[in-house]
Amino acid sequence: MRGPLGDRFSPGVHDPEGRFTEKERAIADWLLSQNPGLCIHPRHRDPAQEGPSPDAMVRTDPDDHGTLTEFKTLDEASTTSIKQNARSAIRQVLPFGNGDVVLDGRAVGLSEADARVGHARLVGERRQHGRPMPRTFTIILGDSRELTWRADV
Amino acid sequence: MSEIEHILLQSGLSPEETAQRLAEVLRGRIVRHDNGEIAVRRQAAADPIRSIGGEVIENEYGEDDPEPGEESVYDRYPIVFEVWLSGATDEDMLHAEASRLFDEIVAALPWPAVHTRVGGRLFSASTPSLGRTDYPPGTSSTATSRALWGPYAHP
Repeated sequence: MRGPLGDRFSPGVHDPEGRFTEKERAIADWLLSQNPGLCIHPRHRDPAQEGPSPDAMVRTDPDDHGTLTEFKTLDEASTTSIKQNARSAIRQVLPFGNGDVVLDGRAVGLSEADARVGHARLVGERRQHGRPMPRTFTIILGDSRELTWRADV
Repeated sequence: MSEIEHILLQSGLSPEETAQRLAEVLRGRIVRHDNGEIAVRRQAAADPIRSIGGEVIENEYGEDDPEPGEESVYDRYPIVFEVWLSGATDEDMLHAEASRLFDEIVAALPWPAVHTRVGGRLFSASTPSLGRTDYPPGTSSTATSRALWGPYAHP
C-alpha cells in the first residue's frame, strides 16, 4: 500500500518474513548500499492476487508515499536480455501509474557498453510505439556500478 | 513479481479468442483486468491455494526488424501467454506449473508454441510439422542459441 510511514519510517531492508527471494534481496541490499537512507519493504504476495504485483515498495523519507519497484535479475549479458526483462518489468509497474525498475547484471558480468546499447534501443522502441519508460530505470553492471535514467529529464 | 515464464503462441487468433481457447483446453477461467487485458488462470496443481496463468497479450517482446545479433525466438510469434504463480515467489514451482501448461497446450491445440523464461532460458518448442523439442540447459531464447531455435522461429 502506498502511503507515508511517518514515525514508523526506518532506513533499511525490512523483510522479517523472508518474502524476498535471494535474488530480490540482493537487489534490495544493493539499493540500500547506494543510499543508506532508503526504507525498503517487500510487497505482500497474496495467493488470491490475479493482477500484476511489483516486488518492493521503496521510500526515501517519512513523508514519502513510496515508489513501487520491480526487480529483475538478468540470466545473460546481452542487449536482448536487457530489453526483454525491461519490457516485462515495466508491464508490472504501469498498471499502478508507473514506478521504478532495477535490472541486476552483476551475476552475468554485464558490461557498460551492452547496458547503454540495450537502454538506447529500449527507449527508441518505446518512443516509437508510444509506450512510457519507468519513472526511474537502473541497470546494475557486472562490476556493481550503476547506470540510472529518469523518465522526467 | 520477478519471475515470469512465457508461452509464445501462433494461434492465428486475437488475444481474446486465444484466451478463450486456452481457458477451454486448460480448464481455466477468464480474468479481465481494468486495463482491458484478458488473462487465463487456474488452480496450481502443486499448491491449491495458489493460481497459475496470466495475461494473453499481443507480443510486445519481439521485434519486427531486429538489429543483427539481437534476434530472438520471440520475433515471429504474435501472442504471448505470460505465466506467473500467485503468492510468494517460487521459481521451481512456477517452472513445473508452466511446463504443465505448455504440455497441455501443445497436446490439444495445433498451434506453434515456445516455452521460455523472459530474456533468457529457452525450454521447449513445438509445431505440428516439426514436432516437439526440449532444449538442453543453457539454451537461450536470444541470438546466442539461434542455431537451436532457428527452425522454430518462423512457424
